[in-house]
Amino acid sequence: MADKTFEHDDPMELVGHTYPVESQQGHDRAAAQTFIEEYALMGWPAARIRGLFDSSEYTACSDIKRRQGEAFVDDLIASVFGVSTNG
Amino acid sequence: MDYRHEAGATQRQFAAVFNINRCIACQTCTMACKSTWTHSPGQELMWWNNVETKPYGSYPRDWDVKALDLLEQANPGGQSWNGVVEDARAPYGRFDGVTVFEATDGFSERALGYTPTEEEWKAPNRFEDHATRFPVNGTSLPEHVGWFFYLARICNHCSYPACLASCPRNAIYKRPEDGIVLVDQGRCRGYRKCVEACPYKKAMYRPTTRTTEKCVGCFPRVEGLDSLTDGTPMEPRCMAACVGKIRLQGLVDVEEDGTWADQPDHPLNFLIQTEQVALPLYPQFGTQPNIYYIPPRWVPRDYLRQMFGPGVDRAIERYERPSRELLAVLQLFRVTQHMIFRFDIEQGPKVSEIIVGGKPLEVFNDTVVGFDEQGREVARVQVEEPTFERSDKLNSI
Repeated sequence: MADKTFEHDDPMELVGHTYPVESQQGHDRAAAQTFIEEYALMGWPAARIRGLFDSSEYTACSDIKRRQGEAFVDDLIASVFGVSTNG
Repeated sequence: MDYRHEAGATQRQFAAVFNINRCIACQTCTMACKSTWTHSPGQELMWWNNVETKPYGSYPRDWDVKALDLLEQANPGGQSWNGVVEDARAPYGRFDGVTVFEATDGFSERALGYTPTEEEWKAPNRFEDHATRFPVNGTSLPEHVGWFFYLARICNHCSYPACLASCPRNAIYKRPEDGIVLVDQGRCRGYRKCVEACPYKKAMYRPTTRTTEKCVGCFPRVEGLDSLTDGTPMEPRCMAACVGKIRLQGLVDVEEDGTWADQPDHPLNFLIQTEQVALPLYPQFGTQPNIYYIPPRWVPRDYLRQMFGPGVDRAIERYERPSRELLAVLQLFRVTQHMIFRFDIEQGPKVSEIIVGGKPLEVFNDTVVGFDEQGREVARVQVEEPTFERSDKLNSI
């Protein structure tokens, strides 16, 4: 199939859409804040939540760290817990 | 709003809350339903439960866009919300437009709708973020850099079902004991008016029997016929199978006028009426659906207001900074197959203080206890459940 041309009526054709975003950092901030606060309310400590962003097993979290950098994640966690997780 | 049948005909109503913030689209609910009810010839394209990725996906394709567009065409420029939430019983806000019932003359058709094409019922995950196959030479999808979320859907067992109103054979009925909407297969002649009328597109035609089928709410479990719960009501398969613990289902008492009875210690009443953190999907359709959603907090508000009404801002605000009681009740999601009819909270010590939305929030390790229909304790869970990590080398046989 990969060497055939696209056929618009093929329901199995692999199709992907992206949704336009105005501010990538703004969306990443909202998503990361959700992850951090959801786990904080479940009683997870800051260091354990930080681990989600370090592991590639957790795609959403690690993608945000890859795009925005470690300081971005550390600052968000610190803003919830009031403590730094980067050492 | 005129409706073909009397309201308040049910003593209890099947209802549920789905917390979208926690759905991971594992489709376990989908397969639990499929393997229970729709695995026979003629049911291949039938997914009573589905999980679609918003804003990309939909099943049948573009169902919500098409339904909203039909209403807009029927009432150009008039489909608007009053931004103020005035009625406590309508926490989603006041809708000033027309519903699917009001957009028709009531004679030639009972509810505004359309019949999806066969093509639209196929490939339920098309346009979503799933690869459907692995081509030999490899391929790639564009990375989702923006927002998206997973929307789990079943029949809403509406208080004013459009499917029921539209059936020319009166083959669809709403059970008085639990509000579950069913199709009498003996009376149904497959005219598919229900498929056309249901704005959520949860009535589906089966070509092998030439009848319509839909979610039956796992009524044998709801009736307590499963021996596992000693004759007390049990949650449906899709709810009990939920891996992400996003679902809580139950039966709420209904008053004679069709409104929910005041039961502040019932978990669903507490989430929907007291705390108002869960809202119905597209309430502007006017069918009064009974599956409620805690909205995803990271999604642009314009999109959410269209989907849940203007009350969505307050719902998210309350979910982001939960009250002590709300945080406890949220722990009841998916802790037992028993249907929970009442909860009680035993207060525990303060365990942490975090900052949410720039303001401190105290977290208490309270214990929430759930009781079944007969008042027996069936769930006991803490806000901070203790976790145990296995050692690196697992025991193996």
